[in-house]
Amino acid sequence: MPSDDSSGSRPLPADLSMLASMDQREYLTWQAETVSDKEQYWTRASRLVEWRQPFSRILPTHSEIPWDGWFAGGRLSAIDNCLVRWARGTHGQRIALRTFEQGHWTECSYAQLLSDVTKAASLLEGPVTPGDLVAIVMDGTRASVTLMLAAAWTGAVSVPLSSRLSATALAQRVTHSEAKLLYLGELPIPKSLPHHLADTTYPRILGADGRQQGSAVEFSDWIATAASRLSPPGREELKTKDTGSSENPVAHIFEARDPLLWVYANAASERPRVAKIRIGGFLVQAMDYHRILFPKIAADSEDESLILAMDSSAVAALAQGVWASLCLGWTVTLAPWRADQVSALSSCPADLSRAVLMTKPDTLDAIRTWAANQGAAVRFRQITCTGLTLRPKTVKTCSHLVSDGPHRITNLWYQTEAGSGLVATFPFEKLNRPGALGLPLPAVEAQVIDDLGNTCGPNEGGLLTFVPPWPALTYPVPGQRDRFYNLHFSLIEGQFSTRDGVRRDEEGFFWFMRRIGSEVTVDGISVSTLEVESVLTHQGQVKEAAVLPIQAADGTRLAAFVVPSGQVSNPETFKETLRNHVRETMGSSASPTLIVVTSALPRTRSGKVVRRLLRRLLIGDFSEGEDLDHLANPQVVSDLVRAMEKPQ
Amino acid sequence: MTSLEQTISEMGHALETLRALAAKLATKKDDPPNSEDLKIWSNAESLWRRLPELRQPFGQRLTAAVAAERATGARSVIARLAGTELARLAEKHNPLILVLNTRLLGTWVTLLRGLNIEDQVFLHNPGDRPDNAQWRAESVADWLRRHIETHPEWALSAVACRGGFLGPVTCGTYLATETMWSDMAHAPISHHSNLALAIVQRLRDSGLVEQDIPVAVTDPVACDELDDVERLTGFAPLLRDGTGAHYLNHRGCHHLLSSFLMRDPAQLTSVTIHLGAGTSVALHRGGLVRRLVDSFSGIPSANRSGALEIGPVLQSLKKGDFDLKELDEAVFRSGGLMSLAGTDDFEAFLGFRQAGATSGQAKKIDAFVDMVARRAAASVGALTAGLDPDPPVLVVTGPLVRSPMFRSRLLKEFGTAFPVVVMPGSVENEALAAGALRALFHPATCKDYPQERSEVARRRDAVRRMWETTIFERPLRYRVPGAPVTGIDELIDSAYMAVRGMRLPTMAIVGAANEAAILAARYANERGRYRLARFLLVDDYESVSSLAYDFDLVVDGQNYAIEDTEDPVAEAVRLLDEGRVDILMKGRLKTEEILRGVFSYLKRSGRLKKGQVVSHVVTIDIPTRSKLVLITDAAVNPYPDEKRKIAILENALTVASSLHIPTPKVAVLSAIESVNPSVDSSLEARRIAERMAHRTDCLVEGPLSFDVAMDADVAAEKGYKGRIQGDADILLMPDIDAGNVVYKALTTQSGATVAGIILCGDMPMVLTSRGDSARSKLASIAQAVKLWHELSLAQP
Repeated sequence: MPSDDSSGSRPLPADLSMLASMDQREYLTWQAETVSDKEQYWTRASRLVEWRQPFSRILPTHSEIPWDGWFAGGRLSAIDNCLVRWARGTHGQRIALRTFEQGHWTECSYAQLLSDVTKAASLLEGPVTPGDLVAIVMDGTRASVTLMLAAAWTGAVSVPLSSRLSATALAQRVTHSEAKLLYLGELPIPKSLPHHLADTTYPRILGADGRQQGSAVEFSDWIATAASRLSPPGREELKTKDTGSSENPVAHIFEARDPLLWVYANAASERPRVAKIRIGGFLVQAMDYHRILFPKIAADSEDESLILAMDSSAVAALAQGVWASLCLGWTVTLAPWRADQVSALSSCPADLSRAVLMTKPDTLDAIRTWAANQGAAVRFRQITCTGLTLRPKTVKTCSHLVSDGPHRITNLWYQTEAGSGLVATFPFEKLNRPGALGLPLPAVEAQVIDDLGNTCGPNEGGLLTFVPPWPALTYPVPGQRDRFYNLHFSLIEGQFSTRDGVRRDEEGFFWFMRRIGSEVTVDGISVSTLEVESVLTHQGQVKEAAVLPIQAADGTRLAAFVVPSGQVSNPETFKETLRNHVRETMGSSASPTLIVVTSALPRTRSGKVVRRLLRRLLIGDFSEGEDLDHLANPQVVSDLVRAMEKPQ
Repeated sequence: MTSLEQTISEMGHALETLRALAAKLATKKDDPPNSEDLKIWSNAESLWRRLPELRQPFGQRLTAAVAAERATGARSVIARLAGTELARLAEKHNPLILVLNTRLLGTWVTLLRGLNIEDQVFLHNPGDRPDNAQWRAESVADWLRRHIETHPEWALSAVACRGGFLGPVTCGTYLATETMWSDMAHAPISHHSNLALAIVQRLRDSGLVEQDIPVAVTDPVACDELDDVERLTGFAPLLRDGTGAHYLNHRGCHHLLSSFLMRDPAQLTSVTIHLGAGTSVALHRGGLVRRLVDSFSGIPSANRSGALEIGPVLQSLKKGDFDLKELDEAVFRSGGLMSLAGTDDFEAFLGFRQAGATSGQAKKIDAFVDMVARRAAASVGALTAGLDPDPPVLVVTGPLVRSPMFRSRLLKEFGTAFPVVVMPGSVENEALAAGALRALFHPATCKDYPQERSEVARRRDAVRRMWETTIFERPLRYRVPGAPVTGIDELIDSAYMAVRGMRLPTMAIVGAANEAAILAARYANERGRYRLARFLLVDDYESVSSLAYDFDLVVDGQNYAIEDTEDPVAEAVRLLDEGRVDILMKGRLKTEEILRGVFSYLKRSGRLKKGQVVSHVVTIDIPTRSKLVLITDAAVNPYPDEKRKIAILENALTVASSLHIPTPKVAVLSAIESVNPSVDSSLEARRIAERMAHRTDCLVEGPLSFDVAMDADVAAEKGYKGRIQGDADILLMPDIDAGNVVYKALTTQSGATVAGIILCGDMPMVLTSRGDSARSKLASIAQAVKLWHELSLAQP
């Protein structure tokens, strides 16, 4: 491991006492230092991870994939880090995982979890080999987490899937990933699963009880049942292993750049986007940020607890809620997160007032409503929202749910492909503004860029971008490289473009303004309009494109306004070419029904495409003589009106 | 130590010493100074220049020094311009250099051996065919061939040629590159200076010039080093570009002067005045030509008019005194001396003064000389304005100053303001030769043409973008405070005047998730001299944020802040109650929803007094009308009774007062302009007029038909006897139907611009809709803000 020379730089706020006393200006000064010396920062952070073999280099080299190769040469075990290190000694009896299943809370200690994982891992060996994919519906059960850890034990890659996925979407992902094993939990078996999973002689689909859906069984029974289903023909005895002491480790040792997870980005797409998360960078960044985002009660506290009340297949949930929490020895409570289920918190054995609640704003609203109906006051130590915009009003109305003022309600911004949260508010008064996205996390260079590529001034709205690299940044799976690059790295040279429109205030806090483009459901399939635009503009014949949903007689369809990069000799052929291109890249549901060829798109002076105007043009809600003074190119509107009048 | 140094040293540079020294020098002003003198001058140069009485002798002595050296031939001038090192190399290697200087009437061709001229000729253009590179090249080739035949051992080492209208670059020496050849082939202006490179190309093709010898271009005509402010004009589309001056001679003279004063050219400030067939004046500062008066911006020349006053030019064009073609001729080809005297030969012109001119002609010649001298002096004054207290050294150069008559007239113009050095003719050939030596011996110090071209283009573009920066999107005219507001733009301006130096009101947009409202709020603070208001965007946070993003609204928490709420009306009332809001503005919600919500607040808070009503007043600017007209009520009160109408009228009068309309004329409208018992509105109109008859602050008449109230011709035609003769200021409508129809008819059919407000006691509320133009949106806010200020001031 490279030497750590800390001279001349301010120390990492190891116990966070430094963060607690900083104001935002001091934080940003320190944060800028971490950006300017990412190597030093991540060297320090890497010490949180137990390495089986030290890495020889921290930062990736400048190669074709600039973020590839963090912690090169390093080798580590996922299980060492999240279980083995805690299962030893007295901490082994501490509760590692608490879940709510079949109307009851169940708990298991670190020692027990390690034992379960070991057993489950022995089941997997055979059907699953290192590098294979294991699809797991993250339904908040002990089984789902155990299987994910067991997959890591064997060196397999988990594909966490949301329990909200439709049967079609679920089948698509499982088919797409070519998973060797599928854990469905309570979900029914989709009809269109690939043949090899449905093989009756060697079944690879596990349900909640391993035998039939819906019946409650003890977890050990589940393991046994699962074992009997998974044992290959001729393999009669369940292979049980020792609980894996550090002296005799048996868990798989990963290279730092090996994938730990496959994460799907869009909800239910025909050709879903998926990215790989590499274990080394993921664990380092998740653990480091966990300490910063969720400061412990006391520096030496060993009784730390996080309640995860959100979809545990989301990257932020996986990173902070599950993996980093376990790696840091916290108790993880997977709480029901649907509005009608949050009342389960009433019987939760966890001491809420000492726990960090990690949730989404809509779930928080439900918890507020539930709390209002409770006789006694409900308070959490800290609430961290992620996934959706945390509105200022939500902070205001929920401030009674935290013990020490509204600054204890924080926000964490993440995006699936980013592999980590990158912007957050902190549970300190000076480092939090109600409703703000937050400040960039250490060693993260965040910017606001307008559509012309210029850096926005204070409070000017623009696209949130990040300058790579950071350790957890995902990378594309084979076959999706261009798609990944086009969507995230083509808009602004060398920067990771998100799909979020934000502003940064004078103090340096980022504020969410709007999501650029939208996720539209076409024929039950989710399509990102921004991705369709990206696919169109990388087709070669299109300079600019704006894609919007339209309501047709047969449901939602897409309309595309395209600016050709050259002369179009035959508009109909041109449009058909574009439709085919999108169809081939993203699937037929993403192919625009209506294509309007135009000379330019209406833009504001900062270069934003005025989609509202396009939308109104599409539905005929536009009249000549309207105020177009805000446009940089108002003359284009009459062109558009003429183009719309032609038969499409 | 020489005696001179001794003198200075002993007297410690005291003024008296220098004055004495000047007197001493003045007695032998035509003697060239020796090298020791020059050294002393150089050391004491700024002191010399500081003392007015010393400037003339200083200039005279320098003139004599330069003249004496030039009289010995080109050698020493080339050596001075090339610098010591290049001169040494030239003498050591004795390269053969061909120098081509294309002039208007022919081509100077010089063959240089080292620093010495082997031969030099001016190849005249034949007058019988149009000027072009082909035949100029042929004549040069013939001349060159003759030398080569005589001296077969001769081989050219380098070629120096004048650069014409290349892509604009900074001054200096460039090696000709493919890019340069290509640019020259597509020169934007046809000019004899463009021909030198073309001649070289043909000499290369013919084999007379080897392909691989360096071709140097020095200080082309298309140089451009102007500083940013010099580029600016009062008409944004026209920026000065600095090209088209006698850079070769200007820079040559400046460098020569620097050499004589033993100064680094980059450290010496001078002004060079080139007076010849063309004229230009250049300020050299920091080694660059930072300011310039060219043929079009200053002095008339042999065939160019020089600067003309654009106003009279435009008027004459309009009147037909001359047409555009004649003007073009005068400015570019046959203006100046040619148009005034029928010759472009200054020598002939001035010679005629001495022999043959009548007294009238002599007077004109004198006047012309006076004019040129005065313009030259004025140009120098323009270029040196604001410089250091030490006046720069002036160099007067060009063929014209060969004339003693002209020279003495010119020097008289400068008096003792500057030390003036006269360098008749030009040093262009010598400067080109020096450039060739640089290209030959120190090619790495030559400038990179594409790079410099890009740099100049970048600088020009930066200035252009700066000059095109929008400050006020709408013209903002000065008005005397309190003057009647007669148009919407004046209304907006008067609001800006009203808020100047005052507290900005806070305007709550109720239901701010609305395009029109967001745009209106933006315009209010971006379109004028001052910000008009602070805005609280009261609505769902995400929806407002999203709109703010789409329409580039800068939510900074000060000018624009979001008040996150699911019930905008209740929130607005709360904000009013807390005194955090001064004015309301309608967003996405319906007017009645808002009014229903705020009505109880208005009553409770006493802001709506007994007898007052909430009513709508729209101020309309009709393009064909010379003043504004107010219509009420077209939006809030559907069918008001007589009493309510009078209350509505009172609100309109409040608005009229805010517009400084003196004694507003109120037309109470009906279908007819006479009372008809079968038309209720006519009866009511008469009663209202009668009830308001005692008022001195307004003139109320009714019933009136719309046309009588608005059109003087119709009023006259119909024989209406009232005092309102088509010039009504306020139209009091019989009901909402009529009001709305008139309002919409005017806005949609007559191009009218409107400002709409609802007056709620002492609080205006702004109404805008998507159909409103940007100007209307802004005007509505402006009117509300102005009214709020006035009503606030009126409060006890």
